[in-house]
Amino acid sequence: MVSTARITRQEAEDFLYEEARLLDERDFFPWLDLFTEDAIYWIPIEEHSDPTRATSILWDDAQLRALRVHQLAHERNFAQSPPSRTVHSVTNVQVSPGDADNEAKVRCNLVVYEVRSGDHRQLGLGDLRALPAKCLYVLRYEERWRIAHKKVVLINRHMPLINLSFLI
Amino acid sequence: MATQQATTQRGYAELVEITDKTFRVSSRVYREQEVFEREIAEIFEKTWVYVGHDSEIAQPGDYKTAQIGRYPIILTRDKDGAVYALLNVCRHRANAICRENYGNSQNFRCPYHAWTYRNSGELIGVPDGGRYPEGFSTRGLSLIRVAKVDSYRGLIFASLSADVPELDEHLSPVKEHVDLWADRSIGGEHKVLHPHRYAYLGNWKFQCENGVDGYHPGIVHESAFSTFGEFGIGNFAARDLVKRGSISRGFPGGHSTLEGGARDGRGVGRGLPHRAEEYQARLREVYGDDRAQEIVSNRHTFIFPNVFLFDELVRIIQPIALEYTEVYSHPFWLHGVPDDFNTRRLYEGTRQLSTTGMVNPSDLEMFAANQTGLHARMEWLVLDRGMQREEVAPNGERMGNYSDEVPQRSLYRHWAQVMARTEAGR
Ligand code: FES
Ligand SMILES: [Fe+2]
Repeated sequence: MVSTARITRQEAEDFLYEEARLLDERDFFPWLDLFTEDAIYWIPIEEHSDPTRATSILWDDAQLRALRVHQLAHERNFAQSPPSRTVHSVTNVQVSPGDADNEAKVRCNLVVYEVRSGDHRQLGLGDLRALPAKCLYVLRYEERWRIAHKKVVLINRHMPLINLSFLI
Repeated sequence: MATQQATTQRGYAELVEITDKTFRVSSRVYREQEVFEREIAEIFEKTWVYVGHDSEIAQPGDYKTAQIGRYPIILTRDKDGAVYALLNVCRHRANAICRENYGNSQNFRCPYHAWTYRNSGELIGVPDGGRYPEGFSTRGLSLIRVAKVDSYRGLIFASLSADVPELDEHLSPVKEHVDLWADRSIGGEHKVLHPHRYAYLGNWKFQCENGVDGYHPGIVHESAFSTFGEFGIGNFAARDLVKRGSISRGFPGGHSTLEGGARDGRGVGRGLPHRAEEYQARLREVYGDDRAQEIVSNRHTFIFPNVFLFDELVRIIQPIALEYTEVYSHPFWLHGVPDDFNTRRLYEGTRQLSTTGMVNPSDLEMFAANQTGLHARMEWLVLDRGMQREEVAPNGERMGNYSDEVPQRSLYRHWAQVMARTEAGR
């Protein structure tokens, strides 16, 4: 791999926008393919903790990402029936060199807006929520750019959160 | 409370109607503000509630903030290792003093006018104290101690009222199950980690009922279980490990259990080593075959009114408002087992029961839907499933099959007693 690891900000933005589009359009199987086989997707509670020893909001390897996506496709997934509609809004993108030759680091801000439709008069439905976060990606070049690590640091990560059964 | 005749009394006891064949709970228990206020006053602010685990305040100076009913408290450990439950309320003008979840400090300084207290409660500093009239003394102005605080197997409970039985007596009906839970650690205590914090739009009792409800999982969690199945992940595959099969129990005092097969952990977390057999072999070595089997059985133990002991989590239920409840689910680290086995348990608990778990959010969805339905004020809810087949032991312990509503009936038998007791002139 010949210095493919240099990613421009614009390339990084294109990559993140595409991920956001897949999530917002609920096109989850292609979303799985954005990750490398060994990738970890992590939403910590303590930002600098070790997820093998500390509580995390989410800590997914490839198997668990796949499980989630299968569950999201299941017709009797009650936490997602009716399903969440989301807007993933990505800003403040910055790129820097990765730790390996074929890797790059990307940092961005993310706000996920979420609402569940249906009979909006019922408790839990119809509430528009915003989840602001800082995201840290490690992208790795394997024929194309893929996510080798994704960390989402929610600003309200210590608060009681309601129904995070959609993908952030 | 006898089940032979209708036991309708006046007032709050009337909200639970029991005959020999029927068990009904009035919808008012979930939807009336007056009932909620009385629950906070009579249950949460007058009886034993779970407040934390020894390991959360392991070192001298460690503290944790919590809430009993609506009272903010600080749980502290002083330099000699003694545990205190103190009201987190300044004796000057009632400012909340400590504003962190966890920390370590010998003293607490009120942010308003800097009155300063030792972590055992004594007032040790009053700025410009000379301005107070003659006779002013800091002696009677210590932080108020919660009337009772005591622990069992690392679980710390407190009561704002001194007029309660000893903790030992409160826990005695369910103690055997607390021991089985605590014995999952070998040669030491569990280490409780920071909690998953989540909330739902429904009454607090929905979570109490649901954690020991064996009727709903196959239905509410169908999407999770069928997904696990597709991926070849065993959930409760090792049912053969359990002698009695899957059962539910209800105890006097409102406590209950739901007991199933042991998790074998097969197929979960490809990157994580599979140490379940090694762990079980170690348990057999230490406790013998029979007890080891009991220890590894899947067991949900509910201790009235606010805590569940699960295989991978301690779950605290905190009522906030009539239709809004917070839940704090603490994963815990076992003592005396390999780290990677604990990591695997952490992963499994997160996968199923965390804020983003594949199992838990669907339960919370049911609670919101339940609360929505109750706006219709339909009079009675039906809780008599398995009633005629439940076994009643002389000590009042009841047993039924996994999907019977034995635990829920035990909850409401006790609930009615506590809610009605001052009416009865106690
Ligand atoms: S209220 Fe605490 S010092 Fe005044
Ligand atoms: Fe459930």
